[in-house]
Amino acid sequence: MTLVPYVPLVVVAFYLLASGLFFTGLVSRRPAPVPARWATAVLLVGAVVHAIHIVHQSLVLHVCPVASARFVLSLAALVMVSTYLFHVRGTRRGALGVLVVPFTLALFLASDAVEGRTAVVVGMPRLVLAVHVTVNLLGSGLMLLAAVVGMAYLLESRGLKRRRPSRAVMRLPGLSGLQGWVRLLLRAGLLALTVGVISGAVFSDHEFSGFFRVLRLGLSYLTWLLVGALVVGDRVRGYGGRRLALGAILSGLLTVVVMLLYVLVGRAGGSA
Amino acid sequence: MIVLVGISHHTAPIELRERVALDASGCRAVLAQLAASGSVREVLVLSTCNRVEILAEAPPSAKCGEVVDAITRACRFPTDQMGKSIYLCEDELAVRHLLRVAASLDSLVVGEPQILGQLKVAFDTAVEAGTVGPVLHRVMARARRTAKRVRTETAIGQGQVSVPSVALSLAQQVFDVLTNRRVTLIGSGEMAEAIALLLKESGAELSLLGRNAARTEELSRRCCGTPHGFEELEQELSLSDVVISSTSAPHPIVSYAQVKRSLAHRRGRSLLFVDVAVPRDIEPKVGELDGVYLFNIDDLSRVTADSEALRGEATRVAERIVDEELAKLRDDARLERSVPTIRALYARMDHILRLEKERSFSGRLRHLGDAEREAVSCLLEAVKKRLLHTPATELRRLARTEPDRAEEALELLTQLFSLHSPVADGQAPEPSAPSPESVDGCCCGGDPTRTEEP
Repeated sequence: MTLVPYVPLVVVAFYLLASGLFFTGLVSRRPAPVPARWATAVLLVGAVVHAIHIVHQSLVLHVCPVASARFVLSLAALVMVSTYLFHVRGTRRGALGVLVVPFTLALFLASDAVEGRTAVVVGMPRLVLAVHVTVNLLGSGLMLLAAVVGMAYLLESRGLKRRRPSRAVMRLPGLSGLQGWVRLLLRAGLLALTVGVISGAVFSDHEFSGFFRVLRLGLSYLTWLLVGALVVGDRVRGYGGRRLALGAILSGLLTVVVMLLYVLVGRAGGSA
Repeated sequence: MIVLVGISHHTAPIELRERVALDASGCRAVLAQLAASGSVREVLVLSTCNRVEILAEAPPSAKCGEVVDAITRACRFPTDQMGKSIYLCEDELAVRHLLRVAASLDSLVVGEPQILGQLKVAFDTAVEAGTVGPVLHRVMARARRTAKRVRTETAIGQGQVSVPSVALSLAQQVFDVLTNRRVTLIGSGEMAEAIALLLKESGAELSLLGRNAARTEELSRRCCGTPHGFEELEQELSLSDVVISSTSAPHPIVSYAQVKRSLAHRRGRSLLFVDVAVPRDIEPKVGELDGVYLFNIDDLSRVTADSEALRGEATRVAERIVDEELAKLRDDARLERSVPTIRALYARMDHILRLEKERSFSGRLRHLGDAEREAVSCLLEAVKKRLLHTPATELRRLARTEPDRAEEALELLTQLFSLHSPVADGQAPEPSAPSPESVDGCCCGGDPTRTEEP
């Protein structure tokens, strides 16, 4: 019995695990948490297995890198993760793993699915679709809530900055509390949207069949990247509440646009 | 003539007030200068973080303009601000203002308890300087009484009424609860102590900075805080969530550059400054930094709008109390005008009776023994009191209720009894026209030269 068909599954598993560890390291209160150190090691193993998979496809299955979009996507994913592993040092760049690894995984899954074959998730497309829709809805809701809290933060901050807080402002929760809420909602939203990005890659063969679908896909990724950048930037550089609030509001707006595109253009399948 | 000249948080921004604020030695210098100028007889200087006011009593012959000029020169008030930021009150308006100030009705935080203590300190300073006389004594006593009545008879003292409590509420607005939040307190004076005690109750981690190491240590012990030297200021700015400053430094002690440097270590955490000092301790530009919030003493007044609305009814009752006490003071002043005449009348009667007794006891009644003479003296004294009681009481009543008629009555009394002319010992006053009763034989008030058989 050959293990070759299971290699993609192994790659996905390691990348998923690495994503989870990177995310845990990001939200941990400790500056150099243990999960982050293990995340790099797990990612390295996943990258090695990925490389083996590519070598096998290239040299054994004779897949042409020029003719096969699938192969290109898979190779791009490996290059991305290899570059990241080469440059990552310590916690600061390690935080970027929260974005790099899921994107790598999404590319890998897309490479597997782009020609209509979902070797990784054979037999589970409905489950994956259910997860995809659920987490995207959850992520969208969290982004909208983060935007509302962000607006409240900006309103209160503006009132306090002007040293003339109105009665309405004085009745809002404390500023640091609102900042904490924005931070929490962004992190939770990032988690949900990341799962959405990964699960959506399984259905990527449907996503390039029209301008609005491509637009929706692009905006969805943009939202995810924006939220990821906010969370990583907050962790690494300590973004103030104002920057987080503005970012949350922008994410919320992008989420609204994506949802409108879904409603107006069509909601057949697809990624985040 | 009573004159009050001053500026307060109602009329002048903090930028102007901090230029004319006076410390203890400054107040003494102003008192000495005004006393030496000869323009005023009595003077008191009140200088707090929200006002600088001078209350002076000048002789009736003094010109108000000259008195005001002397005051503005002594205090270095900018004369171009007269009528704008600087206000002037005379006589009853000046006294009313002082009563309202003492009752904390004119305070930044209506109902705050500190002002009466500050007024007392100002009064004690003036007493030490020898610039307090009967007028200011009386006015100050009435002010204390007014303040006491307002605090006991109204609810003005309830709710958020002190600068420290307002500072605490601002900190809670930014941070919700202060438990485990680090609060740095700069200064070790009375205001700093009041704030420190309040913060201790809120559960904040207190850090105290001050130039006076002994005082800072003592305050830290009482408030369960950690004392630090002033050189650790920049480090504290990096670590603290709230910084409250209340020093008597004449210039800012926390600069924009210091705060900006500290932000690099804060990783986006908000920082709240509350500057309750006048002159300000923290550079105003600090408030422009992202994530930094700065409130000064003037800003605190806007925050209390909610609690002031709740105390609206209490304020109305307090204003009524001020009116009542002012009316009593007015009555006392009017009564004062009748007192010399009434005293003169009693003195005149005493003099007449004494002379008549001496004449009689050495003449017609020389045969009387000591006991009889004593009895006659008591009789005469009782008659005097009975006779003069009603006119005196009526005069006092007129002085309180009908001052114009009281003036006329006093003038008439003075004329009728020649109270204006002093009477030397041994000299009998001119006999009045004999009454019918006196002609029939009563010797009281009759011709002193008449003698009768006993």
